[in-house]
Parts: sequence; C-alpha cells; structure tokens
Amino acid sequence: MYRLIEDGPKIIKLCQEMNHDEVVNCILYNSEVKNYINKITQDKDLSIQVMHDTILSFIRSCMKKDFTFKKKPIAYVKAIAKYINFRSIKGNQKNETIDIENHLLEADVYEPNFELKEVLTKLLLQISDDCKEVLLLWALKYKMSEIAEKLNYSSESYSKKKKHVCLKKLIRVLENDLKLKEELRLYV
Amino acid sequence: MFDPYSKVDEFVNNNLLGQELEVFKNAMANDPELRIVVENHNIYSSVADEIINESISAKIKMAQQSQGNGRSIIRKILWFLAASLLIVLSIYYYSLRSENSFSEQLYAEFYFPPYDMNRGAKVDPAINVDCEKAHGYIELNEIEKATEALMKNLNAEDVSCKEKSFYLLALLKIKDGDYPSAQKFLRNVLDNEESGYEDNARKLLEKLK
Repeated sequence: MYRLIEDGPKIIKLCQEMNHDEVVNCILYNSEVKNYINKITQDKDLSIQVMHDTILSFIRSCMKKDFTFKKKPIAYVKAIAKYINFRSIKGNQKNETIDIENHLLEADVYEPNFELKEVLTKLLLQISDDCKEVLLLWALKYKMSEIAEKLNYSSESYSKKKKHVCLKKLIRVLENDLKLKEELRLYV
Repeated sequence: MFDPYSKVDEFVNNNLLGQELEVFKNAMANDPELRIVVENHNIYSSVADEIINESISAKIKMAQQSQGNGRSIIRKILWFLAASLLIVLSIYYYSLRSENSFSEQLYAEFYFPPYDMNRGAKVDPAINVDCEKAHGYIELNEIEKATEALMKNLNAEDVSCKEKSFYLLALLKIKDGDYPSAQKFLRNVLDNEESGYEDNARKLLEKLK
C-alpha cells in the first residue's frame, strides 16, 4: 500500500508547491510518530504542541531550496520531535541541566525560533488577514500573476498594488513601534 | 517591471549584478522605505518567515482540531452505545425479574401443601398414598422426581389423583415460566371429570392469558 510518509521526493514536491495539507495529515495520523511523541512527552498538552512544532519544522525544512532526505522521512520527523521536546523541557526547567547539545538538529533541518515567534506574533496582529495573504505568497516568491490567480484578484497590477500597500503598512507598523523593533533586533 | 522590494535578498547576498544592480541602487536612493527594508533586512526576512510559519501553523492546528473532534465524536458514540447497552440490559433484567416474580406469585397463590400426616398415624383410607408421594417430592424441592412421579400418576385410574397431577404439573410449569405447557395441563384438568381442581384451573388459565 502506498504511504506518503515513505515517499520523500513527493513530500518535498508537495511542500515546495505549498500543498501542505497532505503532508500535515500523513504525519499527524501516523501512529508510529504519534506513539513516539506521546512516549517522549508523557503529557497530552505537550504532545499536541510538540506534534505541531515538529510538523511545522519538517515542512519548512522540505521547503528549503535543494533539500533532500538523507534518511527516511519518518526518521527526520522523529529527530525533530526529539529535539523540540528537549527544547521545551529546557524551557520549562531552566534551573535543571539538560544537555541539549547532544540533541542538536541536523544542519539542513529548519529550526523554528520560538522566542522570536512571540514577538513577531505581536507585530502580525497589527496586519490584516488579506495583507498577510499577499505578503505570504510574495515571501514564497510567487509571481504577481500567480498571486492574482490564487487570491482571485482581478489583475496582476492589482496584486502589485496590494502587495505594495501591505508592505508599506508593515514597514509603517514596525518603524512606528521602536520597542518592538528593538525587541526583534535581539533575536535576529 | 522591476520590483526592487523583490530583489532585496539578492542585493543583500551580492547576487545582483550589472544593470539590475544599478537600477536597484537608483531605486534605493529615491525610496527611503526601500532603504529601511535593506538596512533592517534580517528583521523583514524574519517577518516574512513568520508569515509563512503562521500560514502553515494554521493548517496544522486545523488538522489537529479536526482530529480531536473526530476522536471526541468516536468517544461520544462509544458512550452512547455503552449507555444504550446498559439500558437494554437493565430492561431485560427487569423484565426477567418481573416475569419470575409473576410466575412465583402465581405458584405461591395456587399451590397447596400435601395432607399433613404424622409418622405412624393411621392413614385416612380416602387418601391415595402413591399420589401423595409425588406431592411430597415437591415439598422437598426435588422437582425432577416430583415431575416423574406426577407423569406416572397421569395414567392412574384414580380420577382425583390424575387431576391433581395435571394441576400440580401445571403449577410446576408455571414456576418454570413454561406457560404453554402449563396451559395444556390446566386444560386437561377442565376436560376431565369433575375433581374439585377446576375452579383453580380456570382462574389460572385466566391469569395466564
């Protein structure tokens, strides 16, 4: 029986084409991954969070240009889950010494910056959803004509105009909030 | 058309060459916001990164939620099935209990003990001792033996003994919950000659309806 989780090239293709739903489901409903995460986290809420961050990190890794799997995709998923779990344990038990260095991710695996995420979430709350959609596709290097098609805009020039307006808005929000900007500088 | 904002990455990584580089530098000189984006390139690229993460994260959360909902629906169905099974079993148990208590009640109401005889006492010549033996087995709760003896008595010439045996057999069947057989024995009581058991047999048949 065909299983997407065993098909590395197909997973990479889906991730790079932004067809993430299938990839999300093939990990989320995989009993081996589910059991592994439940085993390492030993906590229901934490396992949900670790599963979420693992899938996110896995997809972002696959989206990298020229990314290839050097081992089975499921082994990648487990390695990421293990690392993320150690990160969260370390975050929750700051006084205890946990040797996180022994659990470093492989070089080509995308590592989410969780501290930065909190600050960025504050910033993105000030941007409207339609602006986020345009900026998302633009950040993913979609052509203006493709953005127009995906977001049902009337023309390519409307996409350009919309992207321009949204980008200016983002710049304005960031430049007007120096505290947030300084906070961001700490992490980037 | 040349979009300088789309070329920031390439400019920062020194991948912009020739005419494109010149156009970009020109645009930067005339557009202060483009200068801001270039100067704070790390921040803006992190923002772009987070916009992508947010979009993927929303998809993951939605899938996790529908997985959770699916689980809770299955759990609800299981609870519903378990509750239904419990209700059905309770009803079945109650009906069994009430049926048992009905047959026990009938039996107790229409049963009568055998003639009281003391050991060594003179036996009333009107009493058929063989017939009384079967009745005695019922008193001792030896139902199998009682049934066997009562069946034998059905062939007796003594009408009273025969009728009494039909009647007692009917009562034993009622106690067992085997109403059709009980009704058959009771009808035999009514069909045969007058013996004194007819009234009770009629009442029982009425109740068994």
